Amino acid sequence: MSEATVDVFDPRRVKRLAGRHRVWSTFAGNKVALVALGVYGVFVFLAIFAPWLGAHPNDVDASAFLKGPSADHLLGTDQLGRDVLSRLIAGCRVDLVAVLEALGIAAGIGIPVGLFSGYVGGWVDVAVARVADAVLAFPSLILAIGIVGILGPGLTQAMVAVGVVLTPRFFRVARSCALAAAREGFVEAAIADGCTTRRILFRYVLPEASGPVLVQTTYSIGYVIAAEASLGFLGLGVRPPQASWGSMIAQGFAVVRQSSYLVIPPSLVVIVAVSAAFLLGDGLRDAIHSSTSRRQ
Amino acid sequence: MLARTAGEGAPLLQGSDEALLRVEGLTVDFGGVRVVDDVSFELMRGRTLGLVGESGSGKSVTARAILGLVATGGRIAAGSVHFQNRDLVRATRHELREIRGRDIAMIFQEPRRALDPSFKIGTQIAAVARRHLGLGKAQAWKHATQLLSEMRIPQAALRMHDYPHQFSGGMCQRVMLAMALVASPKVLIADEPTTALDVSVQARILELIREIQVERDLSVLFISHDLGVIAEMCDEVAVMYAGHLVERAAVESIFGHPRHPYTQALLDSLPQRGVGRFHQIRGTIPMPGEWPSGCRFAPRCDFAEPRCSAPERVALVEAADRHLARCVRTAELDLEGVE
Amino acid sequence: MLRASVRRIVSIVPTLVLVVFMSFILQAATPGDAARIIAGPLGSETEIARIRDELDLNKPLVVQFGDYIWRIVHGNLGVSALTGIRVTKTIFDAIPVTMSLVLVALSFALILALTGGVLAALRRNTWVDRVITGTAAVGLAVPAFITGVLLVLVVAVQLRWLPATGYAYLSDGFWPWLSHLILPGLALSLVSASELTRFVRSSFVDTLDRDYIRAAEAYGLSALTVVGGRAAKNAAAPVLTVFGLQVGRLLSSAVVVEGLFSIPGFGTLAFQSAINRDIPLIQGVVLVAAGFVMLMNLLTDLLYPVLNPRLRD
Repeated sequence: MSEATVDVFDPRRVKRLAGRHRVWSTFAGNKVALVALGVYGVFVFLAIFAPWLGAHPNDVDASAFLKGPSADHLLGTDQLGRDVLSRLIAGCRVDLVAVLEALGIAAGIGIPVGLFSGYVGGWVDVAVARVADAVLAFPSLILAIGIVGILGPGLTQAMVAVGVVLTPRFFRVARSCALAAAREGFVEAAIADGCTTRRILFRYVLPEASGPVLVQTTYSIGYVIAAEASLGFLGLGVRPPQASWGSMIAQGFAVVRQSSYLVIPPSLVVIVAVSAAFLLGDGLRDAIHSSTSRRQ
Repeated sequence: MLARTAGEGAPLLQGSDEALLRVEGLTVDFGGVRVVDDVSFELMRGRTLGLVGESGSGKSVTARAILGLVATGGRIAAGSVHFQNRDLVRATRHELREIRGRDIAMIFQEPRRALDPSFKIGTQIAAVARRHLGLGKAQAWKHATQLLSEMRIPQAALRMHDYPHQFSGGMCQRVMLAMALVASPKVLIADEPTTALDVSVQARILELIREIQVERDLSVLFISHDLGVIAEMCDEVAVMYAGHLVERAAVESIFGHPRHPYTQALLDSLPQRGVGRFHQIRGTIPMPGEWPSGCRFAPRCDFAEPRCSAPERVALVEAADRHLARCVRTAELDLEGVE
Repeated sequence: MLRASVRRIVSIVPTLVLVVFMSFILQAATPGDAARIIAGPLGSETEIARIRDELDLNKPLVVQFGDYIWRIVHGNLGVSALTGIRVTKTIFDAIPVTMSLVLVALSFALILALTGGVLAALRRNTWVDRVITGTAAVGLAVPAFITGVLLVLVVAVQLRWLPATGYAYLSDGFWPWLSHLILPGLALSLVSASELTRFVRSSFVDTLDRDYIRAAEAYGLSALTVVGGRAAKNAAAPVLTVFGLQVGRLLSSAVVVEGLFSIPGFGTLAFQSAINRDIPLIQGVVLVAAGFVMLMNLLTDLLYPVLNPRLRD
C-alpha cells in the first residue's frame, strides 16, 4: 500500500534527477572526456558494423607482403599479405566481445554480491570481504594466466579469467556504496514499510551505487582492453587466424627487424583505447563528485 | 585641537627612543586583489606594539610581509620595511634568511601545527641554533635544552627527545618561544600566540612573554583580535580595518579616548563592559576586493554621514598629540573609551 | 607499536588460508579430467590412472585440501607435470632473475618519480608541471609490453645501443647483466613511475603547504633543509605505501615483458605453465606470487609507523 504512494511522488527521485542533470552538465564541460567518449563511439560503431564496412581481415593479397601504407591498403599489409586496417577493425569487434564477457562476469557477480554484503553487514560481510581481499592478493595478470592455463586457451576463457580478476573491484565499489546507503533515511523508511530486502537493494540501494559503479566500469574497460592485448600478445587469447590487437603486435614484433612499421598501428590503437577509457573514467568521476558535493 | 594631516609615513615619536623596525606604506596584493593597504607603524626598542583587527583586516598578512613570508600568490606591491639600515622589502632571499630567526623571530597562532610532527622538538630547536649561531650538534642541543628550561618546561633535557604530538598546546607554544629566542633576536613578532589556547594557559604564556621581553630587552609586535590581551601586553596600539590602519596611539589613549568609531565599537563589544551591554558591531567586515570607496567602516558606523564616503580615500590625520586616526569626523567626535 | 604490529601480522592469516585454498581449488576447477590434462595428449590410460593415484585425485576434496596444506607447510609444492622437476626448485631458480628485473624497474621508477614529482611540485602550475603531469597521465595507459616493443624498436633495432632480448647472469659480468635489464626494466617501470610521479607530486604539494614548513622558513632554514630534509621525510610516508603496492603490478607486467624479452624468470614460468596446462606448476606459481605480494604489503604496513612518529603509540 505504501509502495504506491512512494512511487507517485518520490522526493528522492526528484533529487536524483536534479543530481543527474548536474552530473551531465559538469561532464559536458569536460572537453577531454567528451573526446574520449567520441573515440569510444567510433570504436563501438566499427565493432558493430565491421562486416558491412568492407573489412577483409583474413584475405591474403599475394602481391603485397609487409608493405607500407598504399592506396589499396590504407595502413599497409602484414607478413602474410593481410590488410592491416581490416584487421584492426576486426580487432574492435573482438575487444567489444571481450569487454562484454569480462565485465559481464565481473559486474554480474561483483555488484549484486557487493550490494548484498554491504547492506547486510555482520559476519557475512566480513567473510565475503575477506574472500575478495584474498582474490586481490594475487597479481592480476598472473591469476588470469593461471585461470587460462586451467581452462585452456581461447578468447572466452581468457575473458572469464579477466572477469574473475575484476570481480573483487566491483564488489568493493558496490559494497562501500551499500554501506553508505544503508544508513540513509529513506532506506530505514523502506524497511519500516516492510519492503523485502531484494526490493530495497534494487530500488533504493542500487541507484545510489550507480555513479561509482559506472566510473569503475569505465576504468575496467581500459583494463580489459589492456589485458586482452597482453594475453593476445602471449598467444593465450584469441586463436589464429582471428585478429586481435594484441596478437597483431606479436606478429609485428616477430618481424621487427625487417619492418619497423608493422607494430605501430596496433600499438597506437591500444594506447588510444586504454587512454580514452581512463580519461573517460576521470571525467565521469569528477562529474559525479561535483554533483554529490553540491547536493549538501 | 587642530587636526593636522600628518604624512603617511611620519614617525610617531621623535627623539631619543630608537625605532628598531619601521614599516612605511606597506601594501600587499594577492592575485591583483589588495589585502594590505598603505600600512605604516614603528616598533620602538624594548616596547610592545599591538596590531588589532578582526579576521580579514589584513593584520596577519602584514606581520608575515615584514619577514617576506607572503603566501604563494601574494606580493608586496609597495612600501618599505626598515630594519637595521636595510629595507627588507628589497632584500635578497639570502639576506632575508639570515634575518629570519636571528634578528627577527616569529611565533604563530597554532603552535602545534607550526612544529614538524616527524622530528623531535629538540632537533627542531637545535636546528635553528646551528643555523644562526654556527654551533655544533652537541653544543646546539645544550643551548636548546637551556632555552627550553628557561621557558619553564620541566625536565627540559628529557623532553627534548619528545615529539610535538606529545605536548599540550600551551607547552607547544613554549617550545615555539624557545625556538624563537634561541638566537637572541631583537624583535619578536607574535601572531595571535594565545588565541588557540585555553584561557588559563593564555595568562601564563602572556606572563612568560612579558618576562622575556623585560629580561632580553626585546621589542614585540603583538597581533591579536582580542582587545583585552592587547590592553595587558602593549605599550602602543595600531588598529587595522579592511587593509587600512585606522588608528594608532599609545595604549592609554586608545582605550581612554579613542578617535575612531571602529575602535570605540571594538571597545564596546568587550564582554567586561558591564552586564547587559553586549554590543556586537552590526554588519560584517568587507572582504578584500569589496572595499567601498571613502571610509571603509562607514557602512557599519554609528556616526557615519554622507561626506564620510565622499573622498576616494580617507587620510590618516593626527587627531591628537601622537594619536593618528583615519576618520573624516575625528575632530568632531567625542568618544568615551573605556577604563 | 609492538602490539599493533603483531596484530597486523596475525591479520593476514585468514587471508593466507583463503589464498592457499584458492590455489588448491584451481585443480578442482579444471574442466574435464585434471589427470588427463596433466598427462597430456599422449598419455595412456594407465598413465592417467597413475597420475590420479599419485595426486590423490580420488580422495574427497577436504582430505585433498588437508594434504595440500600439509605439503605446503613442508615446502613441497608438487612436481611439474611437464618436466617432472619439483615445482619449488623451478620457481626458486626463476625468482632471482625476476628479482633482478624488478629491482632495476623499481629503481628506474623511483628515480623517475622522485625527480619528476618533486620538480612538478616545486614548479607547480608552470609548464614544467604540466608537461610532467601530462606525460604521467599518458604513461599510465600504456601497457608495459607495448612500451617494451617500442623501446626495442627504437633502441635495439634502429639505434643498436642495447641488446634486444635475452638475459645474462650476474656471474657473467656486471655490464652484460645490467645491459640486458635496462630495456625490460624501463618498460616495466613506466606505468609504476607514472603513478608514483603523480603521488610524489601531490604528497609534496600537500607537505609544502603545511604550516610547519612555513614556520621553518620563518626561522631562516635554508631551502635545501626544508625541502630535502623536512618535506621529504613527511612526504615519504604516503609515497611508501603506494610504492609497496607496485610490486603486485610489476609481477603481473613482468609476465608479458619477460616473454617479450625472452627473460627466463618467474613471469615466463607463469606463461609457460599456462601454455602447457601444467597444473601443479600453475598452482605453485599462483600461490608464490600471492604470498609474495602479501609479504610486501605486510612489510609496507609495518614500516609506516617508523616514518610517521604519530602512529607509534
